[in-house]
Amino acid sequence: MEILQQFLENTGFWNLEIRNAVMIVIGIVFITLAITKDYEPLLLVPIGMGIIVGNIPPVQGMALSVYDDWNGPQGMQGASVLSFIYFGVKYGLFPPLIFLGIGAMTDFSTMLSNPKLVLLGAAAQIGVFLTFLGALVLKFSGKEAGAIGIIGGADGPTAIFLSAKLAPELLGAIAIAAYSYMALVPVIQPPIMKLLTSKDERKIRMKPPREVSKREKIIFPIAGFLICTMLAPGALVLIGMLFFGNLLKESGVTERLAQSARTSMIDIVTILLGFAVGASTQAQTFLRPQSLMIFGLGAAAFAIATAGGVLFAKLMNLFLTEKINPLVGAAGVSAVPDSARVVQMVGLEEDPDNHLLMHAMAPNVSGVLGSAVAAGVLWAVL
Amino acid sequence: MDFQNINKFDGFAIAGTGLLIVFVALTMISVFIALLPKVLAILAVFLPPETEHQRFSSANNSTDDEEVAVAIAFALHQAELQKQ
Repeated sequence: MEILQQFLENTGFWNLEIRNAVMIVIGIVFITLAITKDYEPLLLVPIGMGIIVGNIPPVQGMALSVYDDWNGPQGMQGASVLSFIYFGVKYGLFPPLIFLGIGAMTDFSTMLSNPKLVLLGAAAQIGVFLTFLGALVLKFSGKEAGAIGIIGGADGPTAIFLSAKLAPELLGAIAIAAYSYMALVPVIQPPIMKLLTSKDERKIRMKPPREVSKREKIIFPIAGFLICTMLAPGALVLIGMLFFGNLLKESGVTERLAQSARTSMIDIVTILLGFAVGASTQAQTFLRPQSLMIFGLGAAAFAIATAGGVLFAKLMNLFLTEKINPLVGAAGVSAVPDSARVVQMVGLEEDPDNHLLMHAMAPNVSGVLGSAVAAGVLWAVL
Repeated sequence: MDFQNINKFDGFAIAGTGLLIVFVALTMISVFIALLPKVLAILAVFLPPETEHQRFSSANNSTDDEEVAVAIAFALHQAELQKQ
């Protein structure tokens, strides 16, 4: 009887707290949304499953959670399997590998063909820094505010990288906020875009992008890397891997490596990253008032970033003879390629023959650079 | 809410400097991109002509996208033949 009682007391049913049950339900909701509504399934399924796994109540004396790592009294013997997977998140290993894959699948030619659109990616980063200030007002510390602000960069790997460096205790909430709002870009952006632009502005047609030579596409990743990292060395890892992946793609002599980077490798890392992030969102660390504030700030970050890009495009139009369709500014929010698709969709509503997708890809990819530089700056100064 | 917290952590300075660095970096990239074709045009006399590198010729190395495109083209062709 004693053994049976001991066994029962070690089961998850016995130790389950209400908040763990709530988190398990949240994980199931994420999986359901991913499968039924196609909301970022490649991320929400691993994250959702990780949440479920991470919220099974721990058993005394057994190393099971991501937080049971090698720093405990038992050293490596006391480290759980999940903690080894979480290593890649905690020490910022996985996000640069994802950036390698992203670089290997990114085509910078739309950006190269219309360089002034690069500035729209910079303008959208105002969402990062205004959210940073908002987080400070809400009494977060400097490092926490920096980690929360980067949600405005709308870049999952960058958000995970910076929060692992600055505020690992908020990583779960920040990652889930970032990916949730990235999935909601088609809901968040259109009202803001329509509010800030007139019908005539939304109908502006832009010149088709020019042909970009192969030589430009090869030189750009090297030069772009040097420019960004000389100014913001903190962005070295993310920018370096992004442009390395792009060079693998554009050089023409490393197609095998580029193919591996943008398919198998990025998929493997995405699985491990999503799962580990989800498993880190234990109820004890996730279900706190700070998490609600982070979600609120995240929504504000996306809204401000969208507005920043659109308004900057309108500002540029005051000085340009060849006008930019200000809707394209919203694509500076670097949720690639969703925000560019939203620009296309909103543009087509006004003029069914005005295809803005290729133009929107330029600020979309420059937004990735901008958010990585912003992360580098915040990491360096905080 | 605590607006003094902004001053405590030099919030305005960090935000302003950060945004400035982002703008400077991307402006420099924008200028570089704008000048690059002109520089390459000037150097074209000295540079070797651009050539396409040999891609793998084996059918097994075609990308999934190419295979999908071929399948779609075939299906459309078949549909056209049936209409006739």
